[in-house]
Amino acid sequence: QEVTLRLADSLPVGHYMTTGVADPLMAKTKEMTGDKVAFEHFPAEQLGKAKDMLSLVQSGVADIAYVGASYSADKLPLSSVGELPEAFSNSCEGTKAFWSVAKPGGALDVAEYQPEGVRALAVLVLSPYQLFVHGDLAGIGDVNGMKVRVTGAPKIAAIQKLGGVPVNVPGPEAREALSRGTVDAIAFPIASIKPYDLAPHIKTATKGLNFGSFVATWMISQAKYDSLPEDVQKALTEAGEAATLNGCEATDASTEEDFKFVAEQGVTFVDLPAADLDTLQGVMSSVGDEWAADLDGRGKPGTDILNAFRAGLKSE
Amino acid sequence: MAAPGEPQLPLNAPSAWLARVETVLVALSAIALAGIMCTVMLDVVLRYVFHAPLVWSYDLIGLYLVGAVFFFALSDTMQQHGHIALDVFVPLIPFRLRHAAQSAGFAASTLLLAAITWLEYGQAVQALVADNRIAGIVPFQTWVAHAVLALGMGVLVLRCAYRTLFHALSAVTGRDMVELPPPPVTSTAGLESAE
Amino acid sequence: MTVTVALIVLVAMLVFGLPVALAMAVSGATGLYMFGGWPILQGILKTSPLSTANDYEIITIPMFLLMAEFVIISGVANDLFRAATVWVGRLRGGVAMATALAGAGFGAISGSSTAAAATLASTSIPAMLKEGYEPKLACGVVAISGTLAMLIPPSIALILYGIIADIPIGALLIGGIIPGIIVTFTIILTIAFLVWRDPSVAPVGKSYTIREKFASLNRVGLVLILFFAVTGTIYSGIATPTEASGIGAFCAMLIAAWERKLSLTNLLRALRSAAQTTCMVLFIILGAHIFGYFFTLTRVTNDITTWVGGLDASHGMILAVILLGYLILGFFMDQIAILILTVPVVLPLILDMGYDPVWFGVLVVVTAEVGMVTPPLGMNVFVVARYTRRPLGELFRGVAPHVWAHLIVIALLAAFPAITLWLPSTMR
Ligand code: NA
Ligand code: NA
Repeated sequence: QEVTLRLADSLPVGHYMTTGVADPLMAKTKEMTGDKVAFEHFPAEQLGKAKDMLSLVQSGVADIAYVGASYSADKLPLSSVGELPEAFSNSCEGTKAFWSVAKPGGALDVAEYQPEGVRALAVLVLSPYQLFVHGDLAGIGDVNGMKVRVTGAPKIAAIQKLGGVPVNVPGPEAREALSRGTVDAIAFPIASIKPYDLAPHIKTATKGLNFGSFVATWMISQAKYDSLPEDVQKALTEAGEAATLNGCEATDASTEEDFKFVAEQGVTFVDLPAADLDTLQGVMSSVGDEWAADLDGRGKPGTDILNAFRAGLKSE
Repeated sequence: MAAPGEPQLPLNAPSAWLARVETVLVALSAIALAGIMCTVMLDVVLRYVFHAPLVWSYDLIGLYLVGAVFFFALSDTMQQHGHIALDVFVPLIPFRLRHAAQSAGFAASTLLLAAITWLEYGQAVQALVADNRIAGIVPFQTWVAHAVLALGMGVLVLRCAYRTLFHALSAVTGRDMVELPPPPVTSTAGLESAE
Repeated sequence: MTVTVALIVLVAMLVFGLPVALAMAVSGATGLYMFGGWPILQGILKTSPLSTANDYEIITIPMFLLMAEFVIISGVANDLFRAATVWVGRLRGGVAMATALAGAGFGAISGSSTAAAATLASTSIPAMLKEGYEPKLACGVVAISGTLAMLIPPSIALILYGIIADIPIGALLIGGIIPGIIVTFTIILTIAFLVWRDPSVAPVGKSYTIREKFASLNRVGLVLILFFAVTGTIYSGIATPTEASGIGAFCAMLIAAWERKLSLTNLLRALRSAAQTTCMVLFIILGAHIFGYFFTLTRVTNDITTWVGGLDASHGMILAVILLGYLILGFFMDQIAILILTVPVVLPLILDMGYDPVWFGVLVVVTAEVGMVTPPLGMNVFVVARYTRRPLGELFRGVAPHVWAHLIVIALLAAFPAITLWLPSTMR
């Protein structure tokens, strides 16, 4: 073995993002280079917290790191484009569109990653967040006045536009907050319902809507990448692209199972009236427009990136 | 030496000058602490009674206030012997060796803390120039958090440098010339007057 | 080699009496520099200081400390102890037993063990010494009773464990209740044993009439208010456990004001004192982070867990080895630093063996309690020493019988997970 790479993340051991993206990325790189590359994996915040990951990969403490767009939104504000409540309903639609702007040479890479000296090897956009409600949800009007546990600016804005009251509750206290009525609802990816054991405290939930999502990227610093032998560079790039596809497909496959599991636990998934869906679409696209305008105002190409992402979604 | 439970008074002019800066900073730390308490209380009341929580409380506390409590109290806590140290072996070590070793230890600490301060200063400037903001409803600027850290840590660097110098002087002169933690009292006197 | 140098620096700095936080930070940084030079060291130094503080959930530490300050100012702590004394009555060693009960009571409103020890030391030790208790016994019971605060909810240690392990904090807090009651009675039984063996160490108490007993309760109402302010708001869903600490501090401040004890001087002193203690705790956490990243990067923690996990032994044996490790770490290290350093590496192993994380969390905290009162680094004993000015050696000897009793409780909790898990299981 000639090259040892440290891969760091903040995810619990065996998390589905690791098995879906990081593990295949490492395995395929090793396979393609004939075991020339060895990986040391540091999961579970062993090298730093989620918001430290970008800095850790820039300084070389980690060679590859899992960077959540919302954790590093101060340095990578444009990456949140994939977390907007845009027109996609599963992980692969979002992931492929995001990859088209985030991959080396893409609009986001040029605008944001290259100036920060990093390069995306793989990305994953989760299945869009749904609304999980402690009580009844008949129409979108019911969100009005509801206390909703939600994190991240675009998602908070979406809930506020629907008249909901955004409440910030730490992850480990989410179950507590929902079961005791500190919040009435929670905007969450379906995949998190089971590990947080939330289903017993949910009566109704949405399906197929988009209240925003979560963008994960696996970054390497450009300097580290440039220092690697050419065949290793090639292996990492190809393995990353394959892992990106693998990750979203695995996520979509398990999303179906997760919906089934949650439904079996007694949660009713409601079909909203057609009029509600129209309202929702209007509200949600205005969230994206305002996000872009706000970034434009701060001298960052928000509208350009949003348009590129929307074009990516259309071409899928 | 400070008496147990009594505030540590500065022993000389440089220490007194530093202590004045420390007092200002620890006052800010205390205000930040009170700020956390009041913000949490207000947030819960507004949410529970009026369904209208503060959308900025979580970010304000997490980004600015906890840091202000911690970093602005660093040096004052050092001066008041609040940072826990093992005092079991210290009385057994010869006077000059003890002071020489403490001087060396504080010298190494000064170097490390100065590195942290310098790195944080750099990050503060960088974040200010790039106008980095968190993705919250109120997009708080991140340079403030770095600046608070750099300022609090910077004063601690001065305090540690002071300790380095004056422990060294104590080792050379054979006299205590630097603030020391209150001694463990081994007599049975003073029991009744215990607080 | 790198690890050896870092450990030598650590031990040397500790022995020469430098602050624990600096000892850990400098030794960890030395190791990081030897491991990867300036680039790696600066990478860690750029992230860990700020992310130690940039954390909303960590406010439980300053808020509970602030609450303890206000509780002492208000005089409520004194009232609680006096009521317990009146109710225990004329038993030999009764005041010491009352200290354990007051410790449990204060534990129900505070999450900080050192805060509890400080409160008890300033209230019950003078009373015991006045009645002719042997100082060793009096100080020992105070030091150990303080640890109840980190077991009986709310508890900073359990909340921190929940944050690190990413498991529901509610279940953990509920899980601490029955073990907390068991530990309280263990302390009382230990006192009973000590006075039976040598009746000269403690006098018989005064007896009180039923009327006096109920009269003593009128001031306990204030404690109940605080109990509902903290624990009540959590269970009713008015606030999250993190927020409840802030509400507790605020209500304790109101009580101090209501009792006309809250002057501006008192308020400022309480704020500064709580800020300093918070700073001390967070600085140690920061040092532990730097040291921990060094250990992680050099794969030491990984190798140890792989070694323990690969032991050709039963799950019970491995668990015993792990708990023994926690006991040994507790001799030398701060409990919070231990949690942060070890839980991320040990917990996967525990889950692998099929154990329950809530049960393990409570077990770790009970084990860590022992470390609060064992030499050379025993935070609670230090706090008692600061308030009483007794020699450390005497204090450590005084608390020793309680340590042995504690080990029996740990074995019991380890052998019967149901003791811990039954109550949380009824909450579903
Ligand atoms: Na407690
Ligand atoms: Na100890």
